[in-house]
Amino acid sequence: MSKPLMTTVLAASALALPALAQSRPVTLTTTLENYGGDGAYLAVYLTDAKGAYVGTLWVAGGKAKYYKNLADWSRLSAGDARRLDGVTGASVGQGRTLKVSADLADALIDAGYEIRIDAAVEDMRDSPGEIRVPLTRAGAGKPQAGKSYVQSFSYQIQ
Amino acid sequence: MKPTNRKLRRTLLALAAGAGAALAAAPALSGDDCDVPVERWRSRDAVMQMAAGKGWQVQRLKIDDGCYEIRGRDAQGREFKAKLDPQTLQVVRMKGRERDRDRDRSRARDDRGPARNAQPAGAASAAGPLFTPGTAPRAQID
Repeated sequence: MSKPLMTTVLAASALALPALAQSRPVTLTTTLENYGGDGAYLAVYLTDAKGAYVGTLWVAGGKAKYYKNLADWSRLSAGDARRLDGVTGASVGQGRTLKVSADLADALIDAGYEIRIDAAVEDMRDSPGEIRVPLTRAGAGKPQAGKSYVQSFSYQIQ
Repeated sequence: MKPTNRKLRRTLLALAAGAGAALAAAPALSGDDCDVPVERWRSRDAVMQMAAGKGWQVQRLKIDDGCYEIRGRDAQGREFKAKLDPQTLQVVRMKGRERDRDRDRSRARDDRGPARNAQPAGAASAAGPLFTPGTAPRAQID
Protein backbone atom coordinates (compact mmCIF):
# COMPACT_ATOMS: atom_id res chain seq x y z
CA MET A 1 0.00 0.00 0.00
CA SER A 2 1.32 3.42 -0.87
CA LYS A 3 2.15 5.74 1.98
CA PRO A 4 -0.44 8.45 1.20
CA LEU A 5 -3.19 5.80 0.87
CA MET A 6 -2.21 4.16 4.16
CA THR A 7 -2.25 7.54 5.88
CA THR A 8 -5.76 8.17 4.55
CA VAL A 9 -7.03 4.76 5.71
CA LEU A 10 -5.55 5.23 9.19
CA ALA A 11 -7.04 8.70 9.52
CA ALA A 12 -10.47 7.44 8.42
CA SER A 13 -10.32 4.57 10.92
CA ALA A 14 -9.33 6.91 13.73
CA LEU A 15 -12.41 9.03 13.03
CA ALA A 16 -14.85 6.18 12.53
CA LEU A 17 -13.93 3.79 15.35
CA PRO A 18 -14.59 6.09 18.33
CA ALA A 19 -18.01 6.89 16.87
CA LEU A 20 -18.79 3.17 16.63
CA ALA A 21 -17.54 2.50 20.16
CA GLN A 22 -19.58 5.31 21.66
CA SER A 23 -22.92 4.62 20.05
CA ARG A 24 -25.58 2.05 20.73
CA PRO A 25 -28.47 0.79 18.61
CA VAL A 26 -31.76 1.71 20.24
CA THR A 27 -35.13 0.46 19.00
CA LEU A 28 -38.28 2.32 19.96
CA THR A 29 -41.56 0.45 19.56
CA THR A 30 -44.85 2.34 19.59
CA THR A 31 -48.18 0.53 19.25
CA LEU A 32 -51.29 2.62 18.78
CA GLU A 33 -54.73 2.17 20.26
CA ASN A 34 -57.75 1.55 18.07
CA TYR A 35 -58.90 5.12 18.59
CA GLY A 36 -61.34 5.20 15.68
CA GLY A 37 -59.71 7.82 13.47
CA ASP A 38 -57.29 8.44 10.63
CA GLY A 39 -53.60 7.61 10.68
CA ALA A 40 -51.70 9.32 13.47
CA TYR A 41 -48.92 11.82 12.99
CA LEU A 42 -46.16 11.10 15.48
CA ALA A 43 -42.98 13.01 16.29
CA VAL A 44 -40.38 10.98 18.18
CA TYR A 45 -37.63 13.19 19.62
CA LEU A 46 -35.20 13.67 22.45
CA THR A 47 -34.89 16.40 25.03
CA ASP A 48 -32.12 16.93 27.57
CA ALA A 49 -32.34 17.15 31.34
CA LYS A 50 -33.49 20.77 31.10
CA GLY A 51 -36.22 19.97 28.61
CA ALA A 52 -34.30 21.47 25.71
CA TYR A 53 -34.65 19.86 22.30
CA VAL A 54 -31.79 17.58 21.29
CA GLY A 55 -32.87 15.94 18.05
CA THR A 56 -35.61 14.28 16.07
CA LEU A 57 -35.60 10.51 15.68
CA TRP A 58 -38.64 10.13 13.47
CA VAL A 59 -41.69 11.98 12.20
CA ALA A 60 -44.54 9.79 10.98
CA GLY A 61 -46.85 11.59 8.57
CA GLY A 62 -46.03 13.27 5.31
CA LYS A 63 -48.03 16.50 5.17
CA ALA A 64 -46.13 19.45 6.60
CA LYS A 65 -49.31 21.39 7.23
CA TYR A 66 -50.11 19.05 10.12
CA TYR A 67 -46.72 19.32 11.82
CA LYS A 68 -47.89 22.31 13.84
CA ASN A 69 -50.34 19.92 15.51
CA LEU A 70 -47.34 18.08 16.94
CA ALA A 71 -47.22 21.14 19.11
CA ASP A 72 -44.35 20.58 21.54
CA TRP A 73 -42.05 19.09 18.93
CA SER A 74 -42.92 21.81 16.44
CA ARG A 75 -42.14 24.52 18.98
CA LEU A 76 -39.03 22.99 20.50
CA SER A 77 -37.46 21.99 17.19
CA ALA A 78 -38.24 25.24 15.38
CA GLY A 79 -34.58 26.25 15.41
CA ASP A 80 -33.44 22.99 13.81
CA ALA A 81 -33.49 23.56 10.06
CA ARG A 82 -32.62 19.90 9.49
CA ARG A 83 -35.15 18.39 11.87
CA LEU A 84 -36.88 16.52 9.04
CA ASP A 85 -33.82 15.43 7.08
CA GLY A 86 -34.12 11.71 6.41
CA VAL A 87 -36.47 11.02 9.30
CA THR A 88 -39.96 11.18 7.83
CA GLY A 89 -42.32 8.41 6.81
CA ALA A 90 -45.98 7.55 6.55
CA SER A 91 -48.50 8.22 9.27
CA VAL A 92 -49.30 5.27 11.53
CA GLY A 93 -52.76 3.70 11.37
CA GLN A 94 -54.69 2.83 14.47
CA GLY A 95 -53.67 -0.48 16.00
CA ARG A 96 -50.40 -0.47 14.03
CA THR A 97 -46.87 -0.51 15.41
CA LEU A 98 -44.08 1.91 14.51
CA LYS A 99 -40.55 0.67 15.11
CA VAL A 100 -37.80 3.25 14.97
CA SER A 101 -34.15 2.22 15.13
CA ALA A 102 -31.34 4.69 15.72
CA ASP A 103 -27.71 4.60 16.75
CA LEU A 104 -27.61 6.86 19.77
CA ALA A 105 -24.50 8.12 21.49
CA ASP A 106 -23.74 6.43 24.81
CA ALA A 107 -23.63 9.89 26.34
CA LEU A 108 -27.41 10.11 25.95
CA ILE A 109 -28.17 7.12 28.14
CA ASP A 110 -28.64 7.56 31.91
CA ALA A 111 -27.83 11.23 31.53
CA GLY A 112 -31.23 12.86 32.06
CA TYR A 113 -32.30 12.70 28.44
CA GLU A 114 -35.94 12.00 27.68
CA ILE A 115 -37.70 10.32 24.78
CA ARG A 116 -40.83 12.22 23.84
CA ILE A 117 -43.62 11.51 21.39
CA ASP A 118 -46.19 14.03 20.25
CA ALA A 119 -49.26 12.66 18.51
CA ALA A 120 -51.97 14.20 16.37
CA VAL A 121 -54.91 12.73 14.46
CA GLU A 122 -57.10 14.63 12.05
CA ASP A 123 -60.33 15.84 13.67
CA MET A 124 -59.25 14.51 17.04
CA ARG A 125 -57.56 16.08 20.02
CA ASP A 126 -53.85 16.83 19.65
CA SER A 127 -51.63 15.10 22.16
CA PRO A 128 -48.31 16.84 22.73
CA GLY A 129 -46.28 14.90 25.27
CA GLU A 130 -48.20 11.72 24.49
CA ILE A 131 -45.15 9.84 25.75
CA ARG A 132 -42.35 11.17 27.97
CA VAL A 133 -39.90 8.60 29.29
CA PRO A 134 -36.33 8.93 30.55
CA LEU A 135 -33.69 7.27 28.36
CA THR A 136 -32.12 4.91 30.87
CA ARG A 137 -30.86 1.35 30.89
CA ALA A 138 -33.25 0.57 33.75
CA GLY A 139 -36.22 1.84 31.75
CA ALA A 140 -35.43 -0.23 28.67
CA GLY A 141 -37.97 -2.94 27.90
CA LYS A 142 -40.61 -1.51 30.22
CA PRO A 143 -43.81 -0.78 28.32
CA GLN A 144 -45.67 2.43 29.03
CA ALA A 145 -49.07 3.63 27.87
CA GLY A 146 -49.58 7.06 26.34
CA LYS A 147 -52.19 9.66 27.20
CA SER A 148 -54.53 9.27 24.23
CA TYR A 149 -53.35 7.29 21.24
CA VAL A 150 -50.41 5.12 22.25
CA GLN A 151 -51.42 1.81 23.69
CA SER A 152 -47.85 0.82 24.47
CA PHE A 153 -44.39 2.33 24.09
CA SER A 154 -41.09 0.70 24.95
CA TYR A 155 -37.48 0.92 23.88
CA GLN A 156 -34.65 -1.55 23.72
CA ILE A 157 -30.97 -0.68 24.12
CA GLN A 158 -28.59 -3.16 22.57
CA MET B 1 -37.96 -6.45 -40.76
CA LYS B 2 -35.27 -7.02 -38.20
CA PRO B 3 -33.92 -3.45 -38.12
CA THR B 4 -37.51 -2.16 -37.90
CA ASN B 5 -38.25 -4.48 -34.98
CA ARG B 6 -35.13 -3.34 -33.22
CA LYS B 7 -36.14 0.26 -33.78
CA LEU B 8 -39.64 -0.41 -32.50
CA ARG B 9 -38.28 -2.16 -29.44
CA ARG B 10 -35.93 0.74 -28.74
CA THR B 11 -38.80 3.22 -29.08
CA LEU B 12 -40.99 1.20 -26.69
CA LEU B 13 -38.17 0.95 -24.19
CA ALA B 14 -37.61 4.68 -24.36
CA LEU B 15 -41.33 5.32 -23.85
CA ALA B 16 -41.45 2.93 -20.90
CA ALA B 17 -38.40 4.55 -19.34
CA GLY B 18 -39.96 7.99 -19.84
CA ALA B 19 -43.20 6.90 -18.23
CA GLY B 20 -41.29 5.40 -15.31
CA ALA B 21 -39.32 8.58 -14.82
CA ALA B 22 -42.49 10.66 -14.93
CA LEU B 23 -44.10 8.45 -12.31
CA ALA B 24 -41.05 8.64 -10.10
CA ALA B 25 -40.97 12.41 -10.40
CA ALA B 26 -44.67 12.88 -9.63
CA PRO B 27 -45.33 14.20 -6.15
CA ALA B 28 -46.66 11.57 -3.79
CA LEU B 29 -50.37 12.11 -3.25
CA SER B 30 -52.19 10.48 -0.42
CA GLY B 31 -55.47 8.73 -1.18
CA ASP B 32 -57.70 11.72 -0.52
CA ASP B 33 -55.72 14.40 -2.34
CA CYS B 34 -56.84 15.87 -5.66
CA ASP B 35 -54.62 16.70 -8.62
CA VAL B 36 -56.67 18.62 -11.17
CA PRO B 37 -55.20 21.38 -13.39
CA VAL B 38 -56.61 24.75 -12.42
CA GLU B 39 -58.24 25.32 -15.81
CA ARG B 40 -60.50 22.33 -15.21
CA TRP B 41 -61.76 23.47 -11.83
CA ARG B 42 -65.46 24.16 -11.40
CA SER B 43 -66.36 27.47 -9.78
CA ARG B 44 -67.21 27.97 -6.12
CA ASP B 45 -70.75 28.83 -7.21
CA ALA B 46 -71.00 25.42 -8.86
CA VAL B 47 -69.91 23.84 -5.59
CA MET B 48 -72.52 25.80 -3.64
CA GLN B 49 -75.20 24.78 -6.14
CA MET B 50 -74.21 21.15 -5.86
CA ALA B 51 -74.29 21.40 -2.07
CA ALA B 52 -77.71 23.05 -2.09
CA GLY B 53 -78.97 20.28 -4.36
CA LYS B 54 -77.96 17.75 -1.72
CA GLY B 55 -79.61 19.75 1.04
CA TRP B 56 -76.30 20.68 2.65
CA GLN B 57 -75.90 23.83 4.69
CA VAL B 58 -72.39 25.04 3.94
CA GLN B 59 -70.59 26.67 6.85
CA ARG B 60 -67.23 26.91 5.16
CA LEU B 61 -65.87 26.23 1.71
CA LYS B 62 -62.13 26.15 1.22
CA ILE B 63 -59.42 24.45 -0.80
CA ASP B 64 -57.34 21.77 0.90
CA ASP B 65 -54.91 19.24 -0.57
CA GLY B 66 -55.97 20.29 -4.06
CA CYS B 67 -59.64 19.55 -3.40
CA TYR B 68 -62.61 21.67 -2.43
CA GLU B 69 -63.44 21.07 1.20
CA ILE B 70 -66.86 21.79 2.65
CA ARG B 71 -67.72 21.93 6.30
CA GLY B 72 -71.37 22.12 7.12
CA ARG B 73 -74.50 20.17 7.99
CA ASP B 74 -76.14 17.56 5.85
CA ALA B 75 -79.86 17.29 5.11
CA GLN B 76 -80.33 15.49 8.43
CA GLY B 77 -78.60 18.28 10.36
CA ARG B 78 -75.44 16.26 11.07
CA GLU B 79 -72.13 18.08 10.93
CA PHE B 80 -69.74 16.81 8.31
CA LYS B 81 -66.58 17.59 6.42
CA ALA B 82 -66.33 16.59 2.76
CA LYS B 83 -63.58 16.78 0.19
CA LEU B 84 -64.75 17.20 -3.40
CA ASP B 85 -62.95 16.60 -6.65
CA PRO B 86 -62.71 20.13 -8.09
CA GLN B 87 -63.47 18.94 -11.62
CA THR B 88 -66.29 16.47 -11.10
CA LEU B 89 -67.48 17.72 -7.70
CA GLN B 90 -67.74 14.11 -6.61
CA VAL B 91 -67.12 13.41 -2.95
CA VAL B 92 -63.57 12.14 -2.47
CA ARG B 93 -63.91 11.76 1.26
CA MET B 94 -66.56 12.48 3.83
CA LYS B 95 -66.59 12.25 7.54
CA GLY B 96 -68.63 13.31 10.56
CA ARG B 97 -67.18 15.95 12.83
CA GLU B 98 -68.52 15.23 16.28
CA ARG B 99 -65.04 15.36 17.79
CA ASP B 100 -64.08 18.79 16.52
CA ARG B 101 -65.07 20.58 19.68
CA ASP B 102 -62.30 18.69 21.48
CA ARG B 103 -59.73 19.67 18.92
CA ASP B 104 -60.79 23.31 18.89
CA ARG B 105 -60.45 23.40 22.66
CA SER B 106 -57.03 21.79 22.43
CA ARG B 107 -55.93 24.28 19.79
CA ALA B 108 -57.16 27.20 21.87
CA ARG B 109 -55.05 25.89 24.74
CA ASP B 110 -52.00 25.55 22.50
CA ASP B 111 -52.41 29.07 21.17
CA ARG B 112 -52.23 30.66 24.62
CA GLY B 113 -49.14 32.75 25.22
CA PRO B 114 -45.51 31.92 24.53
CA ALA B 115 -44.30 28.36 24.79
CA ARG B 116 -43.10 27.13 28.15
CA ASN B 117 -39.96 25.51 26.84
CA ALA B 118 -39.46 27.58 23.72
CA GLN B 119 -35.91 27.37 22.47
CA PRO B 120 -34.02 30.13 20.76
CA ALA B 121 -33.28 29.54 17.10
CA GLY B 122 -30.19 27.41 16.66
CA ALA B 123 -30.59 25.63 20.00
CA ALA B 124 -30.73 22.33 18.12
CA SER B 125 -27.14 22.53 17.02
CA ALA B 126 -26.21 20.30 19.98
CA ALA B 127 -27.93 17.41 18.19
CA GLY B 128 -25.01 16.76 15.83
CA PRO B 129 -22.47 15.06 18.09
CA LEU B 130 -25.11 13.06 19.99
CA PHE B 131 -26.24 11.00 17.04
CA THR B 132 -23.70 8.74 15.43
CA PRO B 133 -22.28 10.53 12.41
CA GLY B 134 -23.18 8.94 9.12
CA THR B 135 -26.11 6.93 10.45
CA ALA B 136 -29.75 7.82 10.05
CA PRO B 137 -32.69 6.53 12.05
CA ARG B 138 -34.78 3.89 10.30
CA ALA B 139 -38.43 3.06 10.79
CA GLN B 140 -41.00 0.48 9.83
CA ILE B 141 -44.70 0.12 10.46
CA ASP B 142 -46.06 -3.32 11.29
